[in-house]
Amino acid sequence: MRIVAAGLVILAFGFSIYTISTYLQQGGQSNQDVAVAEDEASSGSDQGDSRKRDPNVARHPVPIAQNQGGKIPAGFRGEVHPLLSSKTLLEVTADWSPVGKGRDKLHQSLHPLFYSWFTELRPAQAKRTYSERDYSAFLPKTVEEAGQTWALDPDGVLRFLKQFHPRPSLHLVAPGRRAGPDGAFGLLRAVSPTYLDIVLRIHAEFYLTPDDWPADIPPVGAWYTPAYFLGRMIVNQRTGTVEYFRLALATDKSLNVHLTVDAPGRGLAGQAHDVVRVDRMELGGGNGSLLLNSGVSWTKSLSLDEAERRLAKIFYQSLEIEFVPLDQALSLARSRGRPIFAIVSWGSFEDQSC
Amino acid sequence: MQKRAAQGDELAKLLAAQWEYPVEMMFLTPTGSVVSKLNSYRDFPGVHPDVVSPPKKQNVQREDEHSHTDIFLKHVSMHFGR
Repeated sequence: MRIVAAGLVILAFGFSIYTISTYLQQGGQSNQDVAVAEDEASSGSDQGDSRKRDPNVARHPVPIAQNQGGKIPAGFRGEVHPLLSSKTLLEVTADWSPVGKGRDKLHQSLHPLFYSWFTELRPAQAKRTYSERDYSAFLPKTVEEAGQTWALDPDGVLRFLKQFHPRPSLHLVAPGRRAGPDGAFGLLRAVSPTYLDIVLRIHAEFYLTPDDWPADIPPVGAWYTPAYFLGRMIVNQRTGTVEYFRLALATDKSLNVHLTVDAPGRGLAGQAHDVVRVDRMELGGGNGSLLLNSGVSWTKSLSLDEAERRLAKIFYQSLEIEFVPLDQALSLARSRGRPIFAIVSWGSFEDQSC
Repeated sequence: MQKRAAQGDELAKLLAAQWEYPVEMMFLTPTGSVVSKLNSYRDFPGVHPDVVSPPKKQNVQREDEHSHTDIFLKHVSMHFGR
């Protein structure tokens, strides 16, 4: 069978629409070429504890492999990165808004007790001060040039996510759908003689079933899966400190959190799912906007959009495709005489929400 | 996409009118006429073992996962192959 590999392709999901210039590509890597960092993420010590609490571990899905993870080196692993040579004590404030009503109206079908596990979520710690040791988890082994990427220290990432909830995991296990790709990566967006601007992308999940669930009642598993977290960290190379940190749920899509309830044999048809909107789930410390708007003269830099695009491509093979905006697709197809292949999906293909 | 369609985008209007839940794959001519479609629920026989089965769908064995690829390629070949 021979396929004509020349056409225009559109991938449309939610309110985000793209066009691509070829529709059959060989991109990506095999399942065997999964990042070392991915294995590391799956075996982080903290989430090992979390998984032990999960009674439905046998029902966990097999995660989709990362696209480029095998090519990405591990970042700094150790106590304190040499770059952070002075004391950093940066207070981080957590902000977490309630879940909105989902497309599948889980709030109508699920027992109020279980649904309250989602609606009553609050940050485990409203404020917490992190040190240079904590922030070292987000740095590369050595600083190279803008565009450099690395895998984050999973245990260090989990330390921050615990400010939201005590049971985070970097290994997505909520059953009933394709999971992953797992991963947590950093990218050096910009460098100046004084500052480093680092962008982060983290896939994580929170296991909500309370610790005190009665032992004599069959377990009900509940997971809260953000689309993904985007982060930003500004390091002052001259002072050896972290001046700004932000880690936030992506809000670019209209629905950005997946809810899962797994109750085998409990009259809930086994599982219940919904995809909801959460306006704000964020950790923030320092005054980044003041810093970033102060006219830092970056020696080398990528745009923020490009940095986020490169990070997303580490996870998803489909992003190897060359997309162009929908509003240009028809005119391009006409001018080039090329057919169009459009994929229109209710949910997003490039995050964990659907 | 529905917002874009409401704003008058010609292609968005066409795709929104043709789309069926949850995933619709559409093949169009360079001038924007629909040649054929594949719907993930209607045209693909099963779902991945990790995925909760929607009504009237069956989970597929892991060795059968590529059947969707075959269906897609046959469809493309039928319309565009040579």
